[in-house]
Amino acid sequence: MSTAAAPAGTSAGTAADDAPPRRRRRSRASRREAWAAYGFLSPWAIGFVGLTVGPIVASLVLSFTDYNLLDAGDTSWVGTDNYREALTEDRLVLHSLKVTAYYATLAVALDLVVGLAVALLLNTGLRAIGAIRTIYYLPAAVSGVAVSLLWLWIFQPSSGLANAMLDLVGLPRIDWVYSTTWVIPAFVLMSLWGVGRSAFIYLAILQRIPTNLYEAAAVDGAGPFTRFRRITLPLVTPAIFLNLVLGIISNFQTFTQAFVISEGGPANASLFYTLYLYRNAFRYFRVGYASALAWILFALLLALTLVAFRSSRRWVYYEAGGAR
Amino acid sequence: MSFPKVSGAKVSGAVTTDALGPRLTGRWSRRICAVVIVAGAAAVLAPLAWMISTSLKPESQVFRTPIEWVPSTVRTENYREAVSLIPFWRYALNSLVIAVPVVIGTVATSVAVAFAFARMRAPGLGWLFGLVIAAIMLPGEVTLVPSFLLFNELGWVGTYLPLTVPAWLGGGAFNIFLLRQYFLTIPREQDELARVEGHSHLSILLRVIVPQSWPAVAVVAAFEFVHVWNDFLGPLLYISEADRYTLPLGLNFYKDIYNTQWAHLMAASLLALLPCIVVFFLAQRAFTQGVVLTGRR
Amino acid sequence: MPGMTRRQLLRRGLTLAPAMSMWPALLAACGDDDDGGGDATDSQNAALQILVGFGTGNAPNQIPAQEELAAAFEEARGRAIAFRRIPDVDGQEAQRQLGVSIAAGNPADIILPTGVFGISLYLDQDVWLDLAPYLADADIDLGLFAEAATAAAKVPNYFGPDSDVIVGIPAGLFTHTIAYNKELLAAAGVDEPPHQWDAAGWDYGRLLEITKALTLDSSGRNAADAGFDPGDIVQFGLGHWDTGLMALGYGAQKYDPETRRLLLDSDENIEGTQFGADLVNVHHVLANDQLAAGVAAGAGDQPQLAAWKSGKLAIIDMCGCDLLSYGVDNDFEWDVAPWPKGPAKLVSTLNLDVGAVVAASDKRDAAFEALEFLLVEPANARKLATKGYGAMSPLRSEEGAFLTELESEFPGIDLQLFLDAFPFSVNQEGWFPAFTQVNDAGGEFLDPIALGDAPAADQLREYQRAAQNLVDRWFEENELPS
Repeated sequence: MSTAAAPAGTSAGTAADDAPPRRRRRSRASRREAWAAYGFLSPWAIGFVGLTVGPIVASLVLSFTDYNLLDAGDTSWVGTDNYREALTEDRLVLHSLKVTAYYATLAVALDLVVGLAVALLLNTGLRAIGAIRTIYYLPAAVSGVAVSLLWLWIFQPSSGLANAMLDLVGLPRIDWVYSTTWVIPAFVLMSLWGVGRSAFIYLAILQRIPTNLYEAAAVDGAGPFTRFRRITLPLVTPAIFLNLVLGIISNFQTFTQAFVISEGGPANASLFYTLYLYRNAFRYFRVGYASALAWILFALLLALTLVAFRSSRRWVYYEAGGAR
Repeated sequence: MSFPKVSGAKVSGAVTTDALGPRLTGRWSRRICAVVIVAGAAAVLAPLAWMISTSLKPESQVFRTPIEWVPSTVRTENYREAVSLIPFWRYALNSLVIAVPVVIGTVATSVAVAFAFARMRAPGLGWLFGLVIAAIMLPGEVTLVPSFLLFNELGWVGTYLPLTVPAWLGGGAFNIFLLRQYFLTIPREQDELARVEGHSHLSILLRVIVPQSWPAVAVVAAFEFVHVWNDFLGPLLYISEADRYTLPLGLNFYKDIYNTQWAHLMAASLLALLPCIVVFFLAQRAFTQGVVLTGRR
Repeated sequence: MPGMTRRQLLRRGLTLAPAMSMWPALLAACGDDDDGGGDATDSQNAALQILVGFGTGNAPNQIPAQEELAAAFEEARGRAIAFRRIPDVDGQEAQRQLGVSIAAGNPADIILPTGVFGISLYLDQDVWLDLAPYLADADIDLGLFAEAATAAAKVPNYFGPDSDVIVGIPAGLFTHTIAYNKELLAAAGVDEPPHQWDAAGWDYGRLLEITKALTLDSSGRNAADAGFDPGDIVQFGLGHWDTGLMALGYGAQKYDPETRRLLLDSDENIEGTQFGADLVNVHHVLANDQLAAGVAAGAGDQPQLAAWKSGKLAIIDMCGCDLLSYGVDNDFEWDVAPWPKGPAKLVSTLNLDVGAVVAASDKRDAAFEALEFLLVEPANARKLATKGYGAMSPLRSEEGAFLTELESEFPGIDLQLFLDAFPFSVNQEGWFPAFTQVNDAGGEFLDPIALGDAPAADQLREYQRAAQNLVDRWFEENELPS
């Protein structure tokens, strides 16, 4: 059964489609089917070429020019100048990459740990699980500007909920989004609010682990932590891997929260990469440069994804028999 | 072996598979777990509860410390005022005008495309599906600016077209992936029966596949609705006139007007989120099944 | 399998739904085309679009005057004026939309009002129309306007000091004085500041002295006393103050067009910036927003305003634009006074708003006509400035209007000082290369100074390095019109 356990890279399903053809030459029926298939695919194909491939190629070309949104007629080829500027001269590029990486790492790591923990706790069998599930899942239903405004309010230093909670446990107040040290942790906390999403993915997997595995292990004398390490964890690794890859990709594209809550401040401490890219394209109108920035990000994410896939051989365990 | 096993069936408390082992499911450890979970649930609810609480307070009491969860004076006028301080309903209508075609378009196209990948055979289909997977991983930034330039050339900047038309051209790579996986789990017998009876592929899709896929389709529709309703960057780029703003745009600028009246802002934000919450509850069962099934983010 | 009827309905529904749902989208799209920018053949009668939102102009008390004058224009000249109002307070959204709409080919025709800052943001993108030829044709002499106003609108750093190019018609002027709470001064035994500009003895040193005496902790000690507790201040001598401006009194300048260098790390700038920061962190006499929130009753979102109104700030910066907020409904006696003189010179800030025409507009002649009607005809200009923007009219003939219009609202306040400020007022928003980027980069370097976390010398040198880089690159990619 294909579930979230299968990493995005495998086309487990297509294998099922490729049954060996009975005849060598294609029958009219199968040709008709092929045309029908292309027909069904046509909207996507148009979209893919026009809105994905086209723009990708265009942005690559633009990244080698000095295209200015307000001065398009004066565009000239500058070769790798934009890339050189971005990587060696513009401190804000590296800075925003660092900010974004810091955020993404923290957010993904905490999401993993907390999500798994919540799933483990939920797995102990509770009544009213439906209601609990609804509650944990609620943050997934809301997003965007309204939520950002809510958290901006929560993080108000003088009268917000966050500091009130700190007061309750006797901890000193924090300036949250107005402090250079705490602004990213504040964003991470905000993203952690939606941990229910991952928790339920893990829960689904946990529940399919047969109890007899644990019983057998217990009989063999394995303590609870060993059971966790040897049985639970390996079986959850595919989901962890999926969340890791998708998490990194999506967290690197954080924009709305940064734009609404902090506008990249204070003192550029929350200048996410996408925000800086947006600024270059739509505030300074340096479209060529912004395109180069986009490709730098693409290259980085590609590299990270490849690293993740490579390393997955060692730590992701597939039920189909051993690490891949 | 019809639908894949889903957690929903198991979780109702019957089977306890404790990852920590059967030994630890003593009453006390279970109680502790329950307490932690409930505390966690309270923490998750707290922001929303706080939002409601703030929205009902008079502005002067919003900053009171220590904080009050239950307002001493309840002021429902905040809601009425919040929707008149900015053209709230106008913005909501704009959001709806965009959301409806997007959801319908996304569902229609992604269903059709996923069906082709799941049920049909044609040369190169495997490769094309690989492209779909690759598209999932593409960061939006790369296509952001050239898309803008493209829409600019077409003269669509300043209209809703850049926000609605793409939904009809491919329905989102992730949705395609999700639906395809789901379709694959539907047994082929009915397909084959219909084919023998001479139905066209489209007919099979509509009569056999779709009716059995409501959970997945509902998930796609619900997620897409939430996504487009809350979309900020898209409208930010393409909508240039204030009375054509969507709700997220309107809210963002509202936070600056008239010195951020937090109670009214929370009221307006809550109203803005209401459709999403309603959609969430409606699709809830299918929602969690769908998430469990595919890990949709 | 269920019956055919349901399937049929389903199928029909599925085919109709797309069509039905495209309809509102089409509607909306069509609607936009109609409302959008004028099309060339129609520009004879299409309404002029004025974009309002580059920082001011959208407050409820400002709108009626604008609308009235627009209606008057339509009646007199037969062409309608439509306002495109962008509600964002700091102007960023309006600015962004202007850029995007120019690229999309449907920009507004006029931006009114925009501060010189807004002009600077788009100056090197050739966004603004040069109005000099139009003014010449209409026989309008720039001498009608105050010198300071036209000087700023000519942007000498870009066009050169001898150029005639002018990119905006002055619409409103704001000078700055300081305001003081008479009762707090009396209670502390401090003499009121002199009521004439450039009076002897009224300088930064004296300001520091008296603000120390006016900053009190809960046991009544002031900031000059031993045993003063800075953690427990209940009243501040100074508030609502832009410390960045203190450097002006030291003779600091931002940019030198001859050498094409920014002067952020000049000794004057460093000393002045440090002095400003020290007012908060070393002498504890100046309340920043956080400190003001701490002493104000009911802080809310404008802590400085709340602190002033609750009588916790003895002296504040008072811009002409602040009169309607900081100047009304005060339940204590107050008055205004001139700025103190810095170690090098007496300088106060001048804010200038202008009306500009977008060069890409297809109704440029009509746009200029509208600007002429609104900003050059004395009665209209006066009304727009004082009622529409709460400013002083930049027309020399209407200088007195500021006093006459506002006297009744502020009895006993020495409003004349706002007018006397002119010889000492300099606009600080003038263009220099890579203007937007250098300004955007500023916060990161300047915030630590203001917070007392880092010395001005180090930060400003870093800022200079990064900013000069941007300026140098600007010169690589662009050229000044000689």
